[in-house]
Amino acid sequence: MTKPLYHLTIGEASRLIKAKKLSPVELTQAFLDRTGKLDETLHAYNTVTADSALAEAKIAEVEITKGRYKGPLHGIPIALKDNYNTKGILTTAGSRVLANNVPDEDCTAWAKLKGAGTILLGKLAMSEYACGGPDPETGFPMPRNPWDLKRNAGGSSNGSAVATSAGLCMASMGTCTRGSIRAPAHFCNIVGFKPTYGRISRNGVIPLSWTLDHCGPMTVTVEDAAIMLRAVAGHDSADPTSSAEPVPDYPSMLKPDIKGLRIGVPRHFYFSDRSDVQREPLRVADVALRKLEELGAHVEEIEIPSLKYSDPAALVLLLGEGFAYHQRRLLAQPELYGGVDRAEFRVAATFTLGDYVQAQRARSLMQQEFLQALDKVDLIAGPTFSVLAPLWDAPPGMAIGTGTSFTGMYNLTGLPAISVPAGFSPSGLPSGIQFAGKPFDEPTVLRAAYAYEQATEWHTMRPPV
Amino acid sequence: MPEEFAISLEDFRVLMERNGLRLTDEELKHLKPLYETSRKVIAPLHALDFGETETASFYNPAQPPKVQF
Repeated sequence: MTKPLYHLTIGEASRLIKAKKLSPVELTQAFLDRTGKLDETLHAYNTVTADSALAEAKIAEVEITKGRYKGPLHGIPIALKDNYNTKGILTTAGSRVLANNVPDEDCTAWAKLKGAGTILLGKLAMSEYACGGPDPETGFPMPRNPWDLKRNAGGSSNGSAVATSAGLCMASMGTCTRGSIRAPAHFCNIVGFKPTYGRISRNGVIPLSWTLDHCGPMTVTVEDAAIMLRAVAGHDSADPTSSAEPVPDYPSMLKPDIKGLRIGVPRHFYFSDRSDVQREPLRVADVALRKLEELGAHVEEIEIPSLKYSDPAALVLLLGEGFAYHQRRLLAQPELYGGVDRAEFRVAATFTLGDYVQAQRARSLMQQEFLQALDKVDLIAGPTFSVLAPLWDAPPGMAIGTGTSFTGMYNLTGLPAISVPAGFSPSGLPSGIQFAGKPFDEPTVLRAAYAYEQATEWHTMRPPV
Repeated sequence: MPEEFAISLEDFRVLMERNGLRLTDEELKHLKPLYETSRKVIAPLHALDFGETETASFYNPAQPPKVQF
């Protein structure tokens, strides 16, 4: 073995486990040791479930030894964002409101992963109720970016990104309302995949905004994302927005071939001269787009005029729906919330019916224009995010006035979108490229991401911790 | 902040009270710039013009419109 166990991918580890060359107990212990050594610095976990993880690993080992191998996630140690309900395990959503919340039931996504044989290492730090960036006032851990400890990993699935990137878990699950899977993935040089709205059940996942929230995997490689998605996707009668679309065998559909694939780039949106957009993510994306052309894809410019409504529409829906969820408690016990959520939900109390309806009309327009664009191209691509990892002591990130989002339009339209490592700034900060596709066309999104990943070395680079 | 999005502290206090939020002067001063920024960000939504014949807008996330694959 040339690399430490905690830097194996799911694909690599599962092949070794299946061949009985790697013990799930040994693998789980490697991640627990790594977490014990580094998490005092990185603050990626809210709760580490070491005892139950080792017990589960021992059961997995016995099952595999006896020939009852369940598949590529059997014996794989993962972790969950702390808004996934886990029976008998503290689930806080990063808020003092839920400081003592121990659910009676597992959420559907975790039940599926558990059924596939994964080992739960613990619950990961996150922005309070998945809203905004790190907020010191909540009193919960604020993860540090393993690529530069003076920086954070954005929000809101920051613990998931940090733990996956630094080898404190083999993969994780995040949630995404305006970019909370893809942005932290971009900041930490990992893969973040938000599939089509309805593809993964949200039953038992603590919400922020019902019409924007998505669940998705955060992994080191595209193959790992495909394996995770295969396990958690599918219809769930407990989630009324869950889709009955059949679930393909995503891992078997990965091919490093994108010859002839048509990729549209709305350059008018990404590459304009807005002052809130840094140049480095754009440069990295431009180089990556040229690489896609070298690989045989047809990259062309497309126009999506309604993109200008993406930020205002996402702001109104995210905070408006969030306020509705929190209204009663926010009015009665505001002191339980951190400063970011308290301020943003209070401002959202002033949003009008007209604001909300106009946001939904703008969303319909965007959905129509994106689908028209995707009649002409197979995928839409661009930089994942408009800035590199923020400084640790920067003011807490807020939804209001944080600048242009390159991710929110895919929450509004519900289209599948993935971020893949695509390079580094001169100062060594990671940056990603994002691919989005047609509804439920995850196979094409994964195929492009996989082909790009296999043709580059970025995903093999690990943080200096 | 452009004048069209500015609000006086007293008007802001009334607005918040109408929404059930009785805040201190300090809290109101802290929130007012955030409120004004939110109005500036949201304003373009109210410039959307779908004409006179637009059918009702809808959003059904579980069933996106059919597209040709």
